[in-house]
Amino acid sequence: MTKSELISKLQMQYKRLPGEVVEKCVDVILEGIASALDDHRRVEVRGFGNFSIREWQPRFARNPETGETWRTPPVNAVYFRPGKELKMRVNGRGYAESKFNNHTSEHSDHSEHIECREE
Amino acid sequence: MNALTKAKLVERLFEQQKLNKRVAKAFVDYFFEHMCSILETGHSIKFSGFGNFYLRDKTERPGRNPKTGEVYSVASRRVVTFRAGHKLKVRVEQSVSASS
Repeated sequence: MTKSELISKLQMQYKRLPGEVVEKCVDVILEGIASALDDHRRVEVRGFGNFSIREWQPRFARNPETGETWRTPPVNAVYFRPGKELKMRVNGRGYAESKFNNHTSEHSDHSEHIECREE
Repeated sequence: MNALTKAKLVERLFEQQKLNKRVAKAFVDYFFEHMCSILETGHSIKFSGFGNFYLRDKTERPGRNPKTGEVYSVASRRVVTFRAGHKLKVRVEQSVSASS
């Protein structure tokens, strides 16, 4: 699902805000996360997960062909660690009591899902 | 440096979109709940310029309790992975060179 698909779904389901505001709000949230990471700040969203920056120190590497030793540059990578609730939900388990349960209809078959996983 | 939390995202919506704080909070909650429910139904999410959330199915594998050495099997499961998009990668990379 792409950002535009997600936005149009949000616009259909979330009637408390006008459509163009929903679109801007999604951008504000994503930009907020990106700019926090830019400042090397962690992003913590309870239930969904955390984003953080992993800093890889420079290390000595060797070109296997020439045997030449060189120093790799320091690398910073974005790391996402899914939250407990998300982890359980993608496995069809523990659909936590959420305020928005009534908006989604696809969650009815969890009990069956657990059974086939545990066989 | 302190972490960015949902409360601070609400603050941003309040400042940048002039949303009432209660509405902003409800929207932030709804947004992340919505992402969870998309992933839950087995779809990946792609945000161009930001990054993609993928689902990965892990097969069952033998594991060991590091404390007791006991062998058990790690059940097959589905995990969420995030890969940063090009724009975000470059941005974060540059923030490094700026600070060092």
